[in-house]
Amino acid sequence: MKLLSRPEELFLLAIWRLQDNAYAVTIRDKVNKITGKTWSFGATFVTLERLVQKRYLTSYLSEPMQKRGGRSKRMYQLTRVGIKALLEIKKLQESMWDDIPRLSMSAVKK
Amino acid sequence: MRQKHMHEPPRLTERLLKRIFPDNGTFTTIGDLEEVYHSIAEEKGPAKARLWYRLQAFKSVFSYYKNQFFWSLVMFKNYLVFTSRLIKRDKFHYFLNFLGLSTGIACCIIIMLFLRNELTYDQHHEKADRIHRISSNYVTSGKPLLYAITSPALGPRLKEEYPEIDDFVRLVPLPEVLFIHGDKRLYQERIVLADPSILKVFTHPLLQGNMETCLKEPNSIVLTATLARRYFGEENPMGKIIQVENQGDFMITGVIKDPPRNSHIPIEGIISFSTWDTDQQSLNWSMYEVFGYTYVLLPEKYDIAAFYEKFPVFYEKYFKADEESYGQVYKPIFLKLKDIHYNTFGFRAEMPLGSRSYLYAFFFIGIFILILACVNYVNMATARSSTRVREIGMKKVLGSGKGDLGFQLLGESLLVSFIAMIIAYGAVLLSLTPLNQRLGLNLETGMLFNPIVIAVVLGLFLLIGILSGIYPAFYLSAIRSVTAISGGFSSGRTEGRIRRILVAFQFVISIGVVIITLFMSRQIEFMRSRDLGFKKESVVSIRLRDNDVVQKVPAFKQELIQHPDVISVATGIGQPGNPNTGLYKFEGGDGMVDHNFWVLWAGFDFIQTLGAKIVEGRDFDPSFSTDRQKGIIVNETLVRFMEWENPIGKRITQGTHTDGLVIGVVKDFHFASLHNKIEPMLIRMIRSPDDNMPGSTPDRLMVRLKGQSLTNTMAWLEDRWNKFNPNRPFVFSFLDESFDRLYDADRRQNRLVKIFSYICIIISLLGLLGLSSFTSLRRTKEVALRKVLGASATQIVLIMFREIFFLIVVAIVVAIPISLLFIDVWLEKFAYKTGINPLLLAATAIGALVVAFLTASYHSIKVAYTNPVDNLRYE
Repeated sequence: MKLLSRPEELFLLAIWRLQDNAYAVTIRDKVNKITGKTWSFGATFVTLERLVQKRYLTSYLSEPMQKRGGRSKRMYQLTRVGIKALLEIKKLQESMWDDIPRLSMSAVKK
Repeated sequence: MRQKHMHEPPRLTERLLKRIFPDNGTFTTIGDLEEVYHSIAEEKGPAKARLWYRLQAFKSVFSYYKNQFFWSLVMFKNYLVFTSRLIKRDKFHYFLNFLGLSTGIACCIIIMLFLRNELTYDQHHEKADRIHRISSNYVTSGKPLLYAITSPALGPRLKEEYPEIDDFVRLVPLPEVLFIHGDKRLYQERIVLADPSILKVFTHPLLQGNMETCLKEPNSIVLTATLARRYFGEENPMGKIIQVENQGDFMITGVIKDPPRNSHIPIEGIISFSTWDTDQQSLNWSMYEVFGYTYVLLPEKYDIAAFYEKFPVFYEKYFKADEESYGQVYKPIFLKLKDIHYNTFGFRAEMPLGSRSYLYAFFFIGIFILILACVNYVNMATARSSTRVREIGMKKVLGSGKGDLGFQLLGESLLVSFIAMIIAYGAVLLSLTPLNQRLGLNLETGMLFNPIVIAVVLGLFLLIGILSGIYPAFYLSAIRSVTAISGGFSSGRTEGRIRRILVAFQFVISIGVVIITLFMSRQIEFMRSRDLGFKKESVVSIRLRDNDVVQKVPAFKQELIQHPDVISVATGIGQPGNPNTGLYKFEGGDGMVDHNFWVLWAGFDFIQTLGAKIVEGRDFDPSFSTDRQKGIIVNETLVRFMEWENPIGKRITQGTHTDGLVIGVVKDFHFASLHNKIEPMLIRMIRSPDDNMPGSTPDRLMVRLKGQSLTNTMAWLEDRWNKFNPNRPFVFSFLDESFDRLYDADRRQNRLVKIFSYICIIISLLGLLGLSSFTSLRRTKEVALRKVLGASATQIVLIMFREIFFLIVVAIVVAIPISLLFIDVWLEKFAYKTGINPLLLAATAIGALVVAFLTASYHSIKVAYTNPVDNLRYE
């Protein structure tokens, strides 16, 4: 299994957090808030599309909405593969963080 | 309303975004953007939101189109690879395709060059729209008598009386003249006598010399650059002297650019009009004496009707006085410069003209060939479809849309026609010169590099590519992928029918054209071999160019007659084949009547030399001293026309020739081409050289030889000639050859149609070859089964041919009446014609069947001799 990249991980987590309200606008907002940076729509779409291609996400269409000019939302949902990938990366990180010497700024020599 | 409008994102930008993010038509992305737009609008105001929205679009556009372009390039490369593989795999079919298409395109290019050349006739003159030629209609006994030429006094007089006429040019083409410079002695054609205004009215750019003065003085000559180089090489020709035999010395006062060849007045040199008209004595000429062409330069938007209105005053002043003695009423005819080349007035003394029917023929031939070539492509492309269904099915399964596939197939035909175009272009480049000679055309190779011509050729390639690609593109891309992949695809009955109809159509054209060619050749052969009423064989006609030579004729004649192989010798003006006409008064029932009939001028022994027969009265006889003055021989048709019971002794007069008497009647003979019926004709005697009347100088010496040892006699003749006339080249022709030349135009047409028929045959045989290879491929299994069940190879070939046999028979049945119709129209212009020969038709039909059989059997024999096991095994 290939490892998730950091942005992919972030997006998958954001979608998991949003549950039934995960679509481009909310996902981007969430990721913006967590990272404190502004993600462009382009970057958002590209990442989402890639995750769909990798089978970590599926999408479906919501009912059309007045607010969106009569258009549907493309809602995103984690797949089994996606969840498995998230768990895997979590496990990997935890095992990496376990039993290492104390990490602090002063430990770095000039 | 306005409030709501402000809350909507900019619609134009939205449209653009819709193109970029279609999301399978749900436009969810646009929805996302709109949602964010609204939230920004609420927070920071609509202006900011709009800016943001537009920025989003702006950022996407570039990468989107970059991507599009990149991928379309990738796909294009893919298509190229694909097509080149197809070509490699299916060399035979593609070879046929290239051959057919490039022949077609090459023909079209040549035809286009020809049409361009013809349609721009005389267009290179800047003032072409304002230049008119005045021609004459001398109404005689109520009947029009049209001359392209006018009196030399007309131009100056018109300018005098009609100040609105800007300028006039009188132009007289000279017969061949002998130019002498140093040791160069050459006969020059295309030398004209013209007023100085020729350089201003027509566009003949001077490379050297002064436009105002160079044609003013007598004995000035302006040469074209090519002619100047021929005589003076790289030297500066200005001020040099060139000797024109019997005309004196001429000074070169100017050099003009070579005019384009498509002009109705071919010019290589211009001699100043004042050379001939030294003291303007031409102004004293009667308006009824014609000499040379008159062109006028009219102001823009000149109303010619107004001219005609004022003309009676002019007529009164200059024509009226002579009206009585000439018995004719004059009417001017204005003809626009660009209409001259194609005019159908039938003027006498006209320049060589073009023929519109030739133009139309060329145009339609071009279109026909184009259609034939396209038909071939369509035919083969659809025929190959069964081998390509799987490929197309697979592509469809892999996501190619119908449109993509269509475009790919169209692209394929474009590529094929592009390659064909390159081949054709090269072929035309190489074959233009020999074609010019064979068809008597004047196409310059340089025209091929004209940007307009190149553009049209490219257009032609696109047209052919699209025309021939569109049907296969629709047809093949519409195949359903499931049937295609499962292999159950069989081209339906309708599709096969279309292909058969196309091949039959090709054969209709080919067979039709072959029939037309054969009948044309037959008619031409018929005219050549027809009994003309005199013996045109073994008569040598020697040109007598000037008075010096003419003076020596009597002595020369005496010497020639001594030779055992010379039967008789006679002088003449013109010769049978190219007679002149003249206006004479004939003794009718009640007084003298004017008629314009054909006239041959002849010396003694003329009738004998031609081998014509006197049926009544007698021939010219030197022992009658009055014959030169009075004697006239007429033909039977004239006697019939005049309803003379006893023609001998009837009076025929003209002008000062007041005492002409008919002394004999000659049996009708064809003195002109067989296009025309024999018309009334009279033979007059050439005056003796010393009385200086018109018609006193013979320009032909005709010598009838015995048939045998012609070469020896000719050598002897030349030797004699050189003894008598050491400075004159011995220029001769055989009478039968010059008669044959009367049918040059017909023979050219025949040759054209012949070439066309070859091309048609090639293209339609290619089509048949393609079709038969396809059918035999499709019927391999059937053939194999038949063989297993005991059919012989011959039987199989015949079975395979049956289908094609019916096609050809249908084509023959359709082609015969159509081509007979064409032939009928073509034969209309001949007074004497061959009938329709059913044998010829039958021969053509059998020929078509045999050729078709041979072509088709190539494939069917191959199939018939394969081992049936090979074809049944893979089941």
